[in-house]
Amino acid sequence: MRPALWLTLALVPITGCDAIYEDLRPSGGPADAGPVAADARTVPDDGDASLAPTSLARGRWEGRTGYSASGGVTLERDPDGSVHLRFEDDFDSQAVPGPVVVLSPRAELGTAIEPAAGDRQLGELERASGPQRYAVPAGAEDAAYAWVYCLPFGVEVARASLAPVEAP
Amino acid sequence: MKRAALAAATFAVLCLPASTGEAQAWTRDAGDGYVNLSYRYLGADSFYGNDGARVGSTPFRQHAIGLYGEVGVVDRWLMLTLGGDPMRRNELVDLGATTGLSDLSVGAWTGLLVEPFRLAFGVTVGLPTGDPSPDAGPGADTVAQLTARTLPTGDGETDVTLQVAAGHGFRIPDTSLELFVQAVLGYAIRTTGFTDQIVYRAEAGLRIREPFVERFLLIVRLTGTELLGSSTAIGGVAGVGDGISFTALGPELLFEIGEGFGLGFGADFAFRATNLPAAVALKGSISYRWDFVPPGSES
Repeated sequence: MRPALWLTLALVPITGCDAIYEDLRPSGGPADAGPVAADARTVPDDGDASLAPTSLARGRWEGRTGYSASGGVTLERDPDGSVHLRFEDDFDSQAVPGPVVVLSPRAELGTAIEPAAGDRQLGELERASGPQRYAVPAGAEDAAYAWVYCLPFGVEVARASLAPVEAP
Repeated sequence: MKRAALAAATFAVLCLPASTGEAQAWTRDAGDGYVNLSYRYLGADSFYGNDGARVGSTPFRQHAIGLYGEVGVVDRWLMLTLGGDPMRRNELVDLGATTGLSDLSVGAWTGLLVEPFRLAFGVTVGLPTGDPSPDAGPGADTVAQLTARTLPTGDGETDVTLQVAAGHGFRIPDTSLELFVQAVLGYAIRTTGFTDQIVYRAEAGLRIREPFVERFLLIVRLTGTELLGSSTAIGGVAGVGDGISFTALGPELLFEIGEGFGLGFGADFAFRATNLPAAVALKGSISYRWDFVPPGSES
């Protein structure tokens, strides 16, 4: 056997081997789950008080299907008219594989996100705890629930029921 | 042929498991060995969540080619093992799949007792040869990247498991029934922040010493893993990573073809688990066992 092959075999336990990925989606598109706005999912919080957003709805995270989650979430409109979903500082959830943030009128998502039912993906969850904001597309401002959802396995991780905030 | 005859002649009831399968408590003599090539399949439409409840999910399929080997180095005192999946494919139906090498494990066992029962101590090291965070490749969209990362073929950490195995084989008086029992208990020291685990296995085997039927060995096996503490970060449900616990039960039927070769068919089901697919795992295998015959002893 050639020395190069021996060297390769010896290095495998040290370096490991990258797995090969195969896309199995029938259409080659995003798995019947609607677009994931990965590039525009979060917006910076500039902290300027004169540009304070208006709260539209608030809720508290609760764990689903055995997973834990806590903390607050607010749906808010910036002075420029854009709408965002803001996770409060106390947000904390269990880290799971493939989490995305979803707004939906549905109280249960089950094993699939359904754009036809009004589900809107806001993007991949940036981190499992701490403050973060996600841009909300037009038409999703009236969602009754915010979700953290394991997209690949189709599992509900956390849900927040969004209650409208009364205007002052 | 003389070699085969000698191997058969040295077969004893107390060596029952060692002749036909993984035999940690029965450490092999120097030069003796056993290798097993298997295919495993698992298809699940739900999995056990972090609290142990079954949760419906995207259909998951796993195909794996497994390789396991044991070789004796020093009579009773040292046996080396190697195990892993040269090919493992994790698939989320109509979504994506990863294929690659799994983590490998190498082990060393030493026999502490031979009588009145077998007792052995082993150290197994898990090597991170699999891919803990597969990549969907450049240009892949977010769904593909999320899916790829959800289907690791390894856990990315080196771990050490200390194990004790006890076994005993015997014939029921006035019958043609031979039995063996084996229990393995271990402590898995995990690294990179993973939670340590207790691993265990208990199995019982039955053989009927009658013509032809004696070629079959039926084994019922209970296997499990328990977490020593709570795990907060769940890496996935592809069978690797942190937060996994389970208790599984299943039968396996082994058939000795002859000349050291054997076939095996088995199934097991985790009736309680966390962060694992909920499905029956099916397994088929072919094995080869050899007994070292010192030069000159055949004449």
